[in-house]
Amino acid sequence: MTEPTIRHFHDELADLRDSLIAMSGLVEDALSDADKVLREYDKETCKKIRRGDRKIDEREVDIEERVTNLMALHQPVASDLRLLLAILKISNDLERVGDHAVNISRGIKRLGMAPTYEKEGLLEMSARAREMVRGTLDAFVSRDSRKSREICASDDVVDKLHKKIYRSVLSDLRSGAPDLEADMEVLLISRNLERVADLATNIAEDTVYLVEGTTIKHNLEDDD
Amino acid sequence: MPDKIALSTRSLTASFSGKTAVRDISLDFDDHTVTAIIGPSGCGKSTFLRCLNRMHELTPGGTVTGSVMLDGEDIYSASSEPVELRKKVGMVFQKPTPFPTMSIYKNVAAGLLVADKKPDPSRETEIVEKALRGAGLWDEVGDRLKSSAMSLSGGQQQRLCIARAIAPEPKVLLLDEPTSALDPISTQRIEELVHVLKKDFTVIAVTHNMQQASRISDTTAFFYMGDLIEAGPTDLLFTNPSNSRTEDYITGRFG
Repeated sequence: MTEPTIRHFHDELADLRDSLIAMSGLVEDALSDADKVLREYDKETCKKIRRGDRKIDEREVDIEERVTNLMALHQPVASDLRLLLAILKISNDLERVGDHAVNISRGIKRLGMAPTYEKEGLLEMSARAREMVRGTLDAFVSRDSRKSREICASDDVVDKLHKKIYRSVLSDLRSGAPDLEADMEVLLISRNLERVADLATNIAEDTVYLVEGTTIKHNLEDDD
Repeated sequence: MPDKIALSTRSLTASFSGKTAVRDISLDFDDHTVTAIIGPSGCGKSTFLRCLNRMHELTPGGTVTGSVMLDGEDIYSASSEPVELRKKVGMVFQKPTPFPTMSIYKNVAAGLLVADKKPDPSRETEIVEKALRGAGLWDEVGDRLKSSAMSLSGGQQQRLCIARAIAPEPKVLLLDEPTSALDPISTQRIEELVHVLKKDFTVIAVTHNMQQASRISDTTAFFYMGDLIEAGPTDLLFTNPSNSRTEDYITGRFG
């Protein structure tokens, strides 16, 4: 066994994990900014979200390349392999969360104002989705599978909030005098927030796999 | 899925002049599977392998207790004959060991001498060809069987040794670090061969190359300081081992 190479591998792995944590900081900033423009439209903040997204994309590509190299050069196994796979998948999920933040800011930009219709519902979804993203990343860093499982369960709350907004939009559309543009954007923003919560759930599921080696997604665990 | 056990050890302990090298190993080897035995140098993996065809007791000071069951019989029982046993349990070593003065043909036919009676010449020719084909060597040497075994490359010599070991049609084939003296291409050929060999034999391979263990085996057993730490399906052992010492060893944190 070539010990220096292996040491080098574990250093690289630790750096990669740090890079993912830095990426998650950028994503949390993007969600915080999206929440801000959801409260009050601000052109500059919308631009900031788009600029930030480019950095998030670059991080994702960088992490992907480094994971590929480590796999090709070191053929990791066991917890090292699970950590590399988790980093790869989580970076992909985080990149998507960044895209959803951009989508939200674009919707508000199209409206030219923060939505007034269903605003409280959207803000509650935003708060819960952000809490899930923050919590799921904390759980990943501390390798806390119990907390990750709690986060998976909390996805239902966001799904229900989304359904509520969906029904509300539907009833407005049937009202005879709908505000089509607002209805459309509110539904899209709600959908984006619901997806953010889904991606936070994916990350939580990946953390459970990392820690326990157990697959819980698609409710597969219940079938065993 | 194979469900029959080809060979099993019970409380197998091996010592060198009173010093224990392998301690209380109970392990089953399923029919038509490849089991890889891994562990750091000195963990007892080769000693364990050498107990499975009674070679350990040939080492000065080598003693064995416990049992090794093959075909319903303990190979260490008083009635068991080591020569008979080695017809059923073939072995290939780290370095290719062809008989240097013999031709390719004679090297393989020598494997049959282990068997009590020499087959008639036409039957012998048949068996030699079958063994060379089984070892994936026939296409390379079929037209020069009378050439010296030493004219072959290292990788070919190792496959010749495999042909010699499988000529008596053993039940179990033991491989002791079979590729550690070979280049990557020859190694790959042997690894592919192992995959084919398990259709006819039960293969038990000692290797210090963990990637090799993960590539070739169905089951992996991890030995450490003479103890069996963990044995289980290879995919599980290399993605989520249950013992922290296995985890530390395969991820390179010690060893």
